[in-house]
Amino acid sequence: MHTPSVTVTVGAGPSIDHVVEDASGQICYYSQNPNCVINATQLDTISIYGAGFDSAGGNTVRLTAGTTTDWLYSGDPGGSYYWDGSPQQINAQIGCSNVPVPGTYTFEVLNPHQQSPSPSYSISVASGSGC
Amino acid sequence: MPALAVASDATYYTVGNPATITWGAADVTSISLTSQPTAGIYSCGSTNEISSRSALLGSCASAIVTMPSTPQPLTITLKGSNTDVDGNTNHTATNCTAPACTPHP
Repeated sequence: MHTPSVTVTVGAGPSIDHVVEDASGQICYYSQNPNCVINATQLDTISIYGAGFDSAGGNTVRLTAGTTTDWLYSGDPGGSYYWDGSPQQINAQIGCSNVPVPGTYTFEVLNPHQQSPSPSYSISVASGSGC
Repeated sequence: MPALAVASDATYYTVGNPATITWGAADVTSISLTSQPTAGIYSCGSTNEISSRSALLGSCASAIVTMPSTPQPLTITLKGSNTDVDGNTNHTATNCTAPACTPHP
């Protein structure tokens, strides 16, 4: 009897393969350059491609700089765009209210069921006109 | 003889996350997955070809399967069978590889 199957890997947390800064088209491929820094403004949207995101939603992006922690997430009261309906992609506007202070942050993806967050990478957030 | 194909919407999942498992099955009276769906069974839209013939053949559906709570490799298998007119169950299926296959010559 032929019984087709798929083999998947179930891991402790999400991973990030690459990030695209949508306004400029800048792409960081972290397997090639884990020190790559995404350059964005507070109004820009980034697309995060990876694996292990919860397609049912609830994923968040945590930005950290020193003692400051900011979040990109669905339902931001500031109205920033956020979409995480795929196991492999998150689209997130940085947002004036999410990240009120420009600067260089490390960021990582958290999954609502995770046992560990994704590896973290760097993003430089410049002041957005209108913030 | 049954013709089966199965595919997942990703190859890596975080523990406890939902996976969408999609399958196609033709010439079967019974099919099952080795991982129990956690919600309903859904129709699916796809351009995956299962036959080059013009006659209608097969069907497609999908289901949500919740991944285990511990990290591990997980194999999800689709099983299918039919019963021929002579009453004997025929378990022989055409070999086809997800997400597309062409089961009949």
